[in-house]
Amino acid sequence: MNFNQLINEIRKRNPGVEIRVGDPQFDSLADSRIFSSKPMRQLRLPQGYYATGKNGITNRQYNTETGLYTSISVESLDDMVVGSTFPAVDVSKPLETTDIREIAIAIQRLNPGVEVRLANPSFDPQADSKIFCSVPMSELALPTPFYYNEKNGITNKHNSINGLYTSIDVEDISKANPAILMSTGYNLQEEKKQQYDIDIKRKEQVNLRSLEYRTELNQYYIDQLQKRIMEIIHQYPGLPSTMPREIRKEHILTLEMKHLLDMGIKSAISKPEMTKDGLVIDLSTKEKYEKCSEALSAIQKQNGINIDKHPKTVEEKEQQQNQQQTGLTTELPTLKTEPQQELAQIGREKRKFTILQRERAISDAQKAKNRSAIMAGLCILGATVAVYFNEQDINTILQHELNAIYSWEALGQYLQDLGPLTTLLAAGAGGFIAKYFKNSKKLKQAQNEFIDFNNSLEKTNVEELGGNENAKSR
Amino acid sequence: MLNQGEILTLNDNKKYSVVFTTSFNNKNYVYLIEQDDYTNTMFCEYDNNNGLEEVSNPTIIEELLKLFTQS
Repeated sequence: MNFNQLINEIRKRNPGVEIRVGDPQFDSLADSRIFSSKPMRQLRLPQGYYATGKNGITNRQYNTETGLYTSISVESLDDMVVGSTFPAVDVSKPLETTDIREIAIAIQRLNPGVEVRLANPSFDPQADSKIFCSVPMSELALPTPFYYNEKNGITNKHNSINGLYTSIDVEDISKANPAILMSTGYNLQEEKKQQYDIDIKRKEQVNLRSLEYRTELNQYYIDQLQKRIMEIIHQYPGLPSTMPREIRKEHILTLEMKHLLDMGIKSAISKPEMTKDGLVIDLSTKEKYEKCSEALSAIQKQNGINIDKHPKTVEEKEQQQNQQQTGLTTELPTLKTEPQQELAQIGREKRKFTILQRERAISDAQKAKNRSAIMAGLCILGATVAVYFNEQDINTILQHELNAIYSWEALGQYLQDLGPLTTLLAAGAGGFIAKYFKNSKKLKQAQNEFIDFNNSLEKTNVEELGGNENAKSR
Repeated sequence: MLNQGEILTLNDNKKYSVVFTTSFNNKNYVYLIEQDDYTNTMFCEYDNNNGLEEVSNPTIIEELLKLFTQS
């Protein structure tokens, strides 16, 4: 059943309900939507068709064999823009008029590329029975129930309900005296704009209103992110410190994005806000989401990863398949399934470093900073080992990673605030750090080793500098 | 040979502390941490001629972690 057949069937099953189709000249969705005086869910539908918030009226579910289906959206009749300029003319239904201006406007609507003008009645006594056009009469599309014949020109003779009819001559506009030409008063652009504005507003409202559908989209993206997290975890088991840095950066951002979406969805129930990419989260999370999304997209692109935020439609899938068959695909493959030589080469180059300077910490400030950094490094390495070799399940590892990501910063700040290791130990910082990580035994060992190392380092420095106490204090 | 406790300035103009050093398969490895960003850590293979190269091979990283536990 095509679009028109479906509408006729719906009309038959719903007597008393006004169902209209938009004017294709200024409603770009005229071939995929109807305007109804009754809400969609209250309409009686032909067998095999059903109404959903997502697809409108459709038979999608019942046509899985062929994959072909029809779907039309249903809007309220109140939202239909019809002849808002004077005079109101609706060419989506039969035109019952003999007014020359209304007929000219109807012709103008049906022939958008054609110039249509009236004759000024002040200068032309036959102005009520002629129009001027930039194309011959035989090439004009005419409104129902008008037709054209050589004798009467454009006419509705014998076709009008009330018996009144008119006959209109069409003259060549290029041969007319411009002084007698007059505009029909019709403004196509203005009407298009009005319908467009209504459509935009309606789309926004519908998008926010159908939170259930949007939550499905959010969940789809969360699942995709989770899939990528697992892919990385399987490639690089353990904490992010075992991953190459570009992968680690992507991994951390992916975890953060998932975290933001989880939080944002829960809060979005009361204060929904739409992101640029069509997901719905709450206002307070939206800004963080946008920033994280931008950073994540950049690093994903760098890593050769492309994650879909929305499930592909049947048409998009077909298009993608065609592109793949013809070799025109622009889709970026994932690193795991299709490693790219070029990307690998770039990655290798990025992983090479040159040492510009080697030095020992000399001043107290340098020493404190170096100690704190080494301490943190040992803790992180200890934690990595603890997670890596404890044979914990993936979910536990993920939790450790999350803790580590959020605690690294806190740990770093804490260490920097407290300063030297001796202060740290005195303040019981060992316990503080250990509570983040399970492998406290290893941590203690590392701490002890570090104390020994630190003592030897200070001794070495003094010896290297000739045991000069003044030099030591430099 | 690099030693634990040394401070390295690399060509990304960041200062790193050498946290841990070890050898595996006749190659030298170091574990570095950036002094101003503790989330920036990496295992690197070190060679006097070729400088540092971050290790991305999970198998080598696993071996290095094992060596860290034994150290």
